[in-house]
Amino acid sequence: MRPLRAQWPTWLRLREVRDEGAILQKSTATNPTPAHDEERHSALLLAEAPATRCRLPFMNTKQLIDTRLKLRSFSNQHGLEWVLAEVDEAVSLGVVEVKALRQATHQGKTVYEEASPDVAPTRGRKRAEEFLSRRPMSALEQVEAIVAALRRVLVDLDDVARTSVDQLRDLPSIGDEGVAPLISEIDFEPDEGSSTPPVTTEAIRHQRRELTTELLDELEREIHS
Amino acid sequence: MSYNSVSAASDVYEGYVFGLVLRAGVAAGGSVSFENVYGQRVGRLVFRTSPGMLYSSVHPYAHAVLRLPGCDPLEVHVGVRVQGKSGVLHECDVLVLPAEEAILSRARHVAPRGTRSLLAVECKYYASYLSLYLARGFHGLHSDLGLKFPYFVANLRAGRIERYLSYHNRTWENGVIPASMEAIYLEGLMRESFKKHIAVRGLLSP
Repeated sequence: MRPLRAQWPTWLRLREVRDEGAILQKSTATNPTPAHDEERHSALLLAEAPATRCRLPFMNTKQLIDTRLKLRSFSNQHGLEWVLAEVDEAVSLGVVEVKALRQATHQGKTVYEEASPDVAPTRGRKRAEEFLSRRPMSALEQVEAIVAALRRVLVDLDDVARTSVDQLRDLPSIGDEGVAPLISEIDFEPDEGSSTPPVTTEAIRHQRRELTTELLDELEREIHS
Repeated sequence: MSYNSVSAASDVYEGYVFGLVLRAGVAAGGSVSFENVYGQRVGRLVFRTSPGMLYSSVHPYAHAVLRLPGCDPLEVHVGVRVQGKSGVLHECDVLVLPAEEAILSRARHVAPRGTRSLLAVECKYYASYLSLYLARGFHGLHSDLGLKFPYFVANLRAGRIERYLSYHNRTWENGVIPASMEAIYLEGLMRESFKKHIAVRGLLSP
C-alpha cells in the first residue's frame, strides 16, 4: 500500500472527479477489472433510477453514480479501502426511519394503522407506538457518505493529530519547573506480540489540508448544486 | 505515512482524547507531568498501537502523572489492559488510575485492577459508520471492569448508539473532534468526575 503523502500530486484526481462528474460517460463493456462489478452494480442502480430518490435539480442519478465510482476508485488507489468498507457497511444497512403506528380494532380484528405525528391521540384511542423501519440509501446519500468519510480521514484526522500535540503544550506542570516539558510529537509503537504498524502524529499531519478541504467543499457544493 | 489503516486513525484519536482527559484534570485544579515506564521525564510521548500491559518496556511507553489538589497522584495511560471483576483482561483506550496501582503493576508485572481504577475512555474514530456492537461491547466491558467513570467517545454522531447507551445509563459523548462543542462538553463531563474524586478522596479543608 503506497502512503498517501508520497503521492500528493495525485490528489488532483479529486479535482478530476469534480470536473468530470457532470459529463463522464463510463463504458461497462470493456472493463475486466474488479471495478467491473462496481460498474455493473452502478448500472443496476441506474436502471432503478426513476425510482431512486434524487433531490438534486442539476446532478442526475447517473452523474451521482459516476461521481461515486470515481471517488471509490480514488480511495482504492490511495490505500483507503478501509474507508470504503465502512461506507459499504453503512450503505448495506440503509437509513433507519421511525414509523408511528396506532393499534385499532376494526370489525373485531386488531390492526395497526399509520398515525400522523401531528395529530394528538383522542380520548379512548391508544397512543401511537414507534416502529423502526429501514430504506436503501439514495445515490445522493451514497456520494455524500463517501465525501464525508474522506473528509473525516483527510481533514479531521489531520486536525486531531495537530491538536493532540498542541493541547499538551500549555498544561501546568508538577514540580519545580512550573511548565510541563514541551511535547513535540506522539509516536505509536507496537507492543510485544502486536503487528499493528507504527504511526506518529507528525506523519498524519500534512501541509495540504486547506487544499483538501477546499476540494471536498467544492465537490460537496457541486453535488448539491 | 499513513491514512492507510483504521488502526492509525484510532491510535491518533486516543492520543487526542488522552489530552482532553488531562485538560479536564487541569480544569479541576490539577497539574501534569509526563514520564516513561522507567520514571524518566519525556518530551516525546510513545504510546502503544494496540493495547498492551502497563508494565511493558518493549518501547519507553509514556504516561501522564496527574496530581489533583489534596489527592494521591493519578496516572493516565493510553492503550493498556486491565483486569475485570470476572478475572479476564480487558482493553482500555485511555485509563486513569491511582499511581499506587500503576506502581504495583510495574513492580509485580500484573495488570491493574478495574475496580481500583478511576476513569476509562473508549475511543472510536470511524470514517463513516459506528456499528451498534461497539456500544454493546462498551456496556459489557464496563459491567465487568467496575471502574467509577467509564466514557464512550466517538468522532461521529450515531443515534442508535446514543439511545442504547442512554438506555443502559452509560455516559457518552459523540461528535468529539477538535474545535467542536462536544469536545468542550466532554472536558466538562470529565472535570465533574475529577471534582467528585477530589471531593471524596482529597483532604478536607480545616
